[in-house]
Amino acid sequence: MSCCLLDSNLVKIEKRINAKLRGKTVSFVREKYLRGDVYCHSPVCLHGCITETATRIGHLPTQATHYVIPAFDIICNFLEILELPEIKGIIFVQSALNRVLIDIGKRHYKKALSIIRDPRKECVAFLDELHKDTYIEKENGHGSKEILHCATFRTAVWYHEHLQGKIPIIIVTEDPQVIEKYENQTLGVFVISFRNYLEEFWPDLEQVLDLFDSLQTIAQTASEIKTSGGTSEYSNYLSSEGLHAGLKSGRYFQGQLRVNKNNSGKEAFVSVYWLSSRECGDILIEGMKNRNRAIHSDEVVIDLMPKSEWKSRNQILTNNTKEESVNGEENKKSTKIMPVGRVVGVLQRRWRNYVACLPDEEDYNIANRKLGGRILVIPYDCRIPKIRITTKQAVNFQNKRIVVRIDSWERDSQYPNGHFVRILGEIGDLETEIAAILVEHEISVSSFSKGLLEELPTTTDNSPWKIEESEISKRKDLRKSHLVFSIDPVGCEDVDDTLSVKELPDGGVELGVHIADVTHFVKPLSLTDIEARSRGVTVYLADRRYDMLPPLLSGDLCSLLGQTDRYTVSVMWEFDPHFELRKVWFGRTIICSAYKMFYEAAQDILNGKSLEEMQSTIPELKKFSNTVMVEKFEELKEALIKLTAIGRILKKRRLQSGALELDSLEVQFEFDSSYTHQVETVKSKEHLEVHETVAECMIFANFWVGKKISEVFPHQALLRHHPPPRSEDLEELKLCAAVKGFQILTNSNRSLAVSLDEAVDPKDPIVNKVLRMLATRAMSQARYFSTGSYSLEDFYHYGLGLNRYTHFTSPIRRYADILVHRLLLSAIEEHYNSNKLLSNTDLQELCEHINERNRAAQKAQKISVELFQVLYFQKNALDDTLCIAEGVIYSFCTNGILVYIPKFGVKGPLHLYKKDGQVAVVTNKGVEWMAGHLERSQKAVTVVSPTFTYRQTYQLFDHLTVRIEVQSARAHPATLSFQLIDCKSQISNMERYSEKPCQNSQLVEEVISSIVVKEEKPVEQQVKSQETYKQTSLYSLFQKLKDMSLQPVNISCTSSE
Amino acid sequence: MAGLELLSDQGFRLDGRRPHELRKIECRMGVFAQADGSAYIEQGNTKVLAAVYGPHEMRGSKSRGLHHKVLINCQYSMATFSTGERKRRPRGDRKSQEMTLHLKQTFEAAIMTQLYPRSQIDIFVEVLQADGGNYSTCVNAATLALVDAGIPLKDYVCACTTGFVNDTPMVDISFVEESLGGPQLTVAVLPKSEQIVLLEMASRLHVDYLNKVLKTAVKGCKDVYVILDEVVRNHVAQIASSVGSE
Repeated sequence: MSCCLLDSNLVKIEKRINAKLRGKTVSFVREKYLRGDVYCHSPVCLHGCITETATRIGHLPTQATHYVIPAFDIICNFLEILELPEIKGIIFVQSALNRVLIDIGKRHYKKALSIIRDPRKECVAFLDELHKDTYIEKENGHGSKEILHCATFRTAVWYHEHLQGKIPIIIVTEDPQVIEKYENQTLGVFVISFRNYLEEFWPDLEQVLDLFDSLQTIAQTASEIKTSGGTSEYSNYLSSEGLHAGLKSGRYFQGQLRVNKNNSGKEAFVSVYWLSSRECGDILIEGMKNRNRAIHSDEVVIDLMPKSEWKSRNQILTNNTKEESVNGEENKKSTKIMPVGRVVGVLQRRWRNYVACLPDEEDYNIANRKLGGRILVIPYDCRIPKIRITTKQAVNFQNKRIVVRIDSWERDSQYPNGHFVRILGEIGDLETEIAAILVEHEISVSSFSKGLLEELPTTTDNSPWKIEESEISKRKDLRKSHLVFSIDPVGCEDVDDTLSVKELPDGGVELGVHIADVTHFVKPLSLTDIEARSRGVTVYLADRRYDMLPPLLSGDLCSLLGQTDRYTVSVMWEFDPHFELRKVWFGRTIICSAYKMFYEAAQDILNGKSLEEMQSTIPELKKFSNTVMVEKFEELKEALIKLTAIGRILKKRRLQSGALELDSLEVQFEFDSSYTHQVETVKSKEHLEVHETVAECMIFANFWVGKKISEVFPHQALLRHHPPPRSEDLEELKLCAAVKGFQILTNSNRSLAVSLDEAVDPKDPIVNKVLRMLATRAMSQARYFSTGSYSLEDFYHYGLGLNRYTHFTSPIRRYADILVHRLLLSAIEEHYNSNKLLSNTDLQELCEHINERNRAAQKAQKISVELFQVLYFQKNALDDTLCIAEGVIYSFCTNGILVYIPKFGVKGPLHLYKKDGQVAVVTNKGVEWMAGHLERSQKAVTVVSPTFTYRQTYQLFDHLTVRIEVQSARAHPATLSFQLIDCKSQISNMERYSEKPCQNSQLVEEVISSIVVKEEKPVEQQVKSQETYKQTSLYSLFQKLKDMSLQPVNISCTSSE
Repeated sequence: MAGLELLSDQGFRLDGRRPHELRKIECRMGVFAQADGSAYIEQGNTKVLAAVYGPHEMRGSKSRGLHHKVLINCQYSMATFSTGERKRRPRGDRKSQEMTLHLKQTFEAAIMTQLYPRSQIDIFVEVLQADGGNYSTCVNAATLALVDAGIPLKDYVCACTTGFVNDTPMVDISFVEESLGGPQLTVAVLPKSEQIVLLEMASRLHVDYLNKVLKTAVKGCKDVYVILDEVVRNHVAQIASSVGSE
């Protein structure tokens, strides 16, 4: 018999496997090929293991003092420590990982995989089961744990021999027998306990030993808990086969659990898609018992209860007695019966790090408690149940916020079990609260790693970075031929877009949009790229920002500063004299921006201000001699006028082609949310035409780029779509408008925009504002997606009225734009190779990640603004002139009304009825609580107090006077609440027009300054604690605060979540 | 098993092969004395026996004979013990009939049929153990048996089944890889001219990827060809030496 195989190194073995197939036990034989060429992924390897595939998988660190191999028990119990970004060079043994998958579960296994897949960690998995030297035949009767240890050891020995002892290999385990057995077998392979390892090799890692202790206690107690099972609080989950069968047959429903913030103990909802009516609807899950150990945002499977048990949702605003905070926002006016269900299984846990603190009572007597033992902590997020943690360090938690993680939730336990991770800081401290926000939204704020910074080009004051000669030939040089300028908000550092306008000889016009070429510096799969990808977006909080790219790129090399040569990617359009589009050109360019202007300056030039007046605001002009200056100024003015003309035409066309004026909404949250941080003065909220012109050019560029990439790569282009709002979401808006006699048409985006514009009450400017706020709230979220995953009609962007849209113009602060740049650049290559790009599935996955990051960033921003509002009102609680403000009713709920306060842009509930049967009665002396009840109709709420023959009706859009108070809660974020002062407004209409809304910037500034003064800390210390901030003086700190300012007047309205 | 990954991050398949690697192929020619030609082939755990009779006169009704070319008669059958569960009908079921037809079409294209008008060639293949890629293994076995029988062929016929997972084509897929779904492309080619004699696809595959998968499949066929050719040469050398020594 002749035996032939392509690679004679392969050894074939056969395994007999017994498996269950459709209930029967079937045995079949599986072959396996053992080989000698399993890669070690080590850069010091002499055998040439690192090949082209290694770049995809990652490799062990280049400058490692040792490699560490965790034994099975370490992977099981201490994976969290291995996850720490500092610990690098871990070799996972594949057979141990497989064992984890079987013994512990998919979740744990995936966590381990994500360590290996993260190139920053520089960890690898060694496929010991495939290598002929490390393969161990599993004999029956041999304890399988033994085999795992043996495999681990063999791997270590193999590595030791393979690398010829260049790098010591360390096996860590907590099993004393293993240490004893293997300790002295081979020189150069060390077997030590994990604790020793951490103490010796990572003495600098703070709190790692604490974490080790807390994990160890869990590992030890885990066995006790399992055996102690007595009474069970919750019912069992169904088996995964049962769940899948039920889902397939349509008996069960699957969805993400959302816990009602206001009634977290009782109400939760799951959105499902009803096959019968072909639409989405909510299922109510009532009580903890039915929720069956599922936690907010878990992916759960629901079994419906019989129809007789269906209920309408609880609409009472919970009175803020204990932890429950009040926010009636979610209480919509639906009295219809809802389906009720219960959780029968959890498909995917979405547990993350939770911020928590000790409950009040615990806090006092914690010192008296004996060391060790379990305590309950209250999570910051009120949707999460209390968590039981086992720790010996409870004493240190007094009045601190800590980070905890959930490990399990046993059937017989009322609360989930978790463990302590680290301490954030004192409750109420600004830094702690900000850190809590960041942890809750999983925003990474660590500084950029050393390896990453080494990748960047160097630039010093003596030898500044210059454009490379070799690039000039590859790019179109616009430095001499075009007048390029940027228009930005005052104080902007990271300029990523510039414009150019040029008249053509035949009377046509050439418009150019030049965007910083970030991809030139950020190569795919470089550390910078990976870091930017995981951050997804630059996060702007009320008083600080966390950059996506390192400051050298975002503030310097990629920032299109004036009078500096920079690489750009350009889109240039040629229009004929009638502004008909003649041709589009995409490509790499080099520009030198002539002017870095501010919006106000640009508008002033347009408004015809003379050169003398403008000289001071445009420093670039000063270097010219007088005659040249006049010439240059005229040239610039000419360009701006042309640009404005084009902007107008573009906008008009967009409106005509079925598009809409709705951009006041969409652009606001597309552009404002990103531009706001840069805008400085209160004045700039004033809407200038030049804002619109620039925005229009950017939309135009985004549109054309979206069109181009989706044509070239029909299955793997990144676009952004904005689905139309659900009609039921617009109902509230319609009802509201109807009260004032306006009709809102919602059949298309255009009619909605037009009818919103018409809905202006000349007597009350707030009406239109409230209506727009409601409209924005009804809007669905714009999202990134990969073109291969959606059908063509879903590409539509409702808000902008475009059939293709993408993000191209801000690569410095959005990762999506970097991806789009790469797509565009490969689309214009002559011989593009779509294999180099991300495949549809990868891209879609990445899009989901970016969407998720985007949302987290927006939420964190919103919450940080709320935090500052709370601090502001806390500080000024006694100052009536600040705390008493005018509110407008915009909605009702069963025991109160929802008011919007235009002055501060906040909204929230106002109670008119207490649980004990009292209602708020307005008398001449003020508001008193008396017995009575509420009468509700669709358009009004009437407070009736029979004993005093008192009736007071509240209608939509009525103006009230309210006092803003801080509802402080120790464990949860503090919130604002309102108290009724008077049922009439104390401000006349005249004043209303003249009154300027309070800017959040002022608010933030005031809060910060008060903190600085109060604490009387050295300035450096205050700033040092904000490392990401990269600022060194208090002055610059304030400067930055100002940058953050311009939140739209009504923050809460613009973020339509 | 939960979360079976057909292709690991490091680019290994379940059985430890890389995507482009064939299973281990072992074969033997001239295993039976009675048949004019015979061969036995193992591709991993798929084991096939092939026997060829002819060309000979028409058996049975002479009217079935074709006046311009030879009639090729195929039979595909699977042993009752070839699969994990005992197979009840070894031949004549729908799947076997389809396979029979495919084999017939394949070899009609490869045998120089015009040389033997009004006669008949019988090809019998029996799957002794099935572990994925049954059709392609049968084609390879039958090719060897035909060579053994000395029937003039235009070229070897080599076949290979290719799967497509995570945007990567995987050559010579096994039963586990087959049964987890995903597109499969079976190709039989004449390796020298790269002419395709049979192409079959199961499940859906985007047309953009077709070329990539097809290329890999043809590459796989050529790899098979190298092995078969070596086997034939060794076999012939062995016979020649034994003839010479007599």
